[in-house]
Amino acid sequence: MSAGMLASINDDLEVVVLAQAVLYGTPLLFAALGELLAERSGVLNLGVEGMMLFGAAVGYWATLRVHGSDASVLVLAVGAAGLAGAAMAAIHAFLTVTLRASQIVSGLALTIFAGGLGLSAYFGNELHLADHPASHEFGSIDVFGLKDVAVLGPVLFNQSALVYASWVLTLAVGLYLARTRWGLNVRAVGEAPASADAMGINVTLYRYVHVLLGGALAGVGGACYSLLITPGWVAGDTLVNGAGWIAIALVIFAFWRAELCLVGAYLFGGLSALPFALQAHGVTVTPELLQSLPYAMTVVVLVLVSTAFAKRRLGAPAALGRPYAREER
Amino acid sequence: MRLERRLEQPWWLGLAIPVGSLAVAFGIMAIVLAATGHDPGHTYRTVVDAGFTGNGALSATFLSATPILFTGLAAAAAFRMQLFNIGAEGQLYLGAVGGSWIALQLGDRGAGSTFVYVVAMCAAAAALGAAWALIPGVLRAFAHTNEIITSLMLNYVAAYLITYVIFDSSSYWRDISTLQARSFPQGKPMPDASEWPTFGTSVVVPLGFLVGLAAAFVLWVLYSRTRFGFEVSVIADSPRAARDAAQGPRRDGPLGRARRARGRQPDRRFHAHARPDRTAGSGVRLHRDRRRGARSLQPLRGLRGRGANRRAAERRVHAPGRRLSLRSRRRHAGSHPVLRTWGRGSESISLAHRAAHENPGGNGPGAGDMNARLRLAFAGETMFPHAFPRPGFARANSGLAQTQRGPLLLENVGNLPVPHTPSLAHWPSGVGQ
Repeated sequence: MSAGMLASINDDLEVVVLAQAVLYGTPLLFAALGELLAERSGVLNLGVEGMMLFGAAVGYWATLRVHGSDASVLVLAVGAAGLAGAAMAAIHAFLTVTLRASQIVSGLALTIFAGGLGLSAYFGNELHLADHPASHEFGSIDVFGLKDVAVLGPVLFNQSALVYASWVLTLAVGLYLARTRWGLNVRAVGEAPASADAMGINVTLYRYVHVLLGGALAGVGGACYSLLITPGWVAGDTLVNGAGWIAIALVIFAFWRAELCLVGAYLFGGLSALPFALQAHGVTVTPELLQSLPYAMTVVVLVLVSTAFAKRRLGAPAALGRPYAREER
Repeated sequence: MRLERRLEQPWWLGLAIPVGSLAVAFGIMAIVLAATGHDPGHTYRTVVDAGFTGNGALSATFLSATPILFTGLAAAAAFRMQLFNIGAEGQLYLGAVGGSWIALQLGDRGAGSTFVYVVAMCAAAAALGAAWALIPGVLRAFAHTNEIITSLMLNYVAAYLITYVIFDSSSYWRDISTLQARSFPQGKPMPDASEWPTFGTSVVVPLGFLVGLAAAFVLWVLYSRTRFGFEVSVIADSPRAARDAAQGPRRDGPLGRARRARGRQPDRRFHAHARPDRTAGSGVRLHRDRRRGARSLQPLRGLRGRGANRRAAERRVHAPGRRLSLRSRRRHAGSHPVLRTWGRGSESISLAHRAAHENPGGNGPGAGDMNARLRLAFAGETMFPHAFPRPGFARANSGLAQTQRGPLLLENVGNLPVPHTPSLAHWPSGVGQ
């Protein structure tokens, strides 16, 4: 009897939106953590959207090509998506770290190259990804059998493996940056590459590694869409639909800190989930208004953060966006 | 391998880069096509045929190039300020909303003149597109918000807005006149007279394309031939140096600022500040020869006229103590292309000096200062050849100033770049021979 009562609470609109916020926030979280790593090493990568789209396509392709148990296929697919993202990031790293091209221009070009009109669309159309229904997708895991606990159950204990992985990753990235020697080196490279260089830290290597890691996480973030949220692949950029850009804004919003990325990701995840949840509950609001909410909110949040930002520098790596050349400064 | 930034660009590079990029892109694409089992030659023939040589292909290319031409110009205008307005897509949508609204309104009122439609649509579309671009612009200027992300986010908002405009049943744009339009959402048909004229018969060039070409020319003049464009490029390179220039010497005070705002006596503020012996901006330089201790006025290169006219012009310029009006200064500057457009050029020189003195390291927020100094030094060389007797020299100095002034460790010595020595031609005769 009480179980039935609790279950009915869990069907409430608020709880559904909360649970969906975690779901929709997960790709944002992956991508934001990746961008965080790259930016902490001093490289701004605006190609997140493109890397996510390509990761989504490659991850979905892997589920079609590989045969085996659900779990092994999905792990391989996520790995493939990560590799795809890293491959795209390698272009950016080569252009900006080795050739010292403008990071902004290179990142924008990467989004166009890998994005919905570029490589990912070519790849997907060439392999007819859109014609195949999803054969493997992430399902929700009922952790500790706590699914039916009021409110917390659906929000925390009935999510997919990717969601749990993203929590572990947030913790790992936070600890890595704050508590390990490598993390300290990364921050040094992002704050003062010349000093780091003088200390014997290999600036180029650190930047390459973190841009590639960032690309891999963006690829995994894209795979969240094609394997978890809306299993399948569609041409164009509707699959990811600007999430890469929101992730970049999230890093600013989170003051370049991993734990705040989590908060921001779920905030924007909630905004993305709201239209669907409201529609399912028969609330009639202009759908376009609701759908544009995450984008409009990104602008609002950025403005709030930047005005605070203008007063004191809050966490932005000092060398962010600047190519490092040993002879110049 | 070590890569170094070029200090100067050879003239052919501006052409070679786009051509080379295209060639490399086609090359890579050919590899991708071949790897996926397509014939690159056939694909490229199809591309050329569909884009240029086929029946009516060129007309279609002109048509589809028109919006890209305009949005490209939109991005270029902001890029000139080193601002990345990548919201051209959203601004395009808003332009479509504005243009169609005014056309439908005029149609409701029975306007019949295509000219009226074209002008009104251009004005309304430009106004709405600019208003949409104003949002990231204002946020950038006053809240220091990253314009890349805000302008891009507004693209999505604009896309949803245009969906709303066409799909929502209460929208002014939605066609609900027929049963079919009520079930399949579509916009109202535009009035016949609002169709833009085209030119040509075999190859059709739409009016919009020509307007775009004109706009491109106007932008080119604005950014490369006017004082405004020069200021834009200085601000883009170094907002800080530009601010210094705009504020002038501090003792100027609010009175001086007000005077400047009215545009009077624009050259005096650097007169006392930079170097007392420079009659700033007058097109003349008061030259003090150290050895002889004598003073002489030296006219700038580029005085207009030949023979007697030239001598008269020089006499006018040499007249001691004579203040020349801005207009006559412009006239004296004559055909000198730089001085003609940037009448108050000496500001640039003193600005370059100031920037060099005040921020020698080029560290901190004004990282572009060095670049601005370089640019200004070039401008100075052209405008004041006597101030820079050896043109290569300023360039050499700017190159040196960019070197790192870190701790001088033994291991760093090998990395110090060799200064760019000016060419021997500029040294007094006998040196280096």
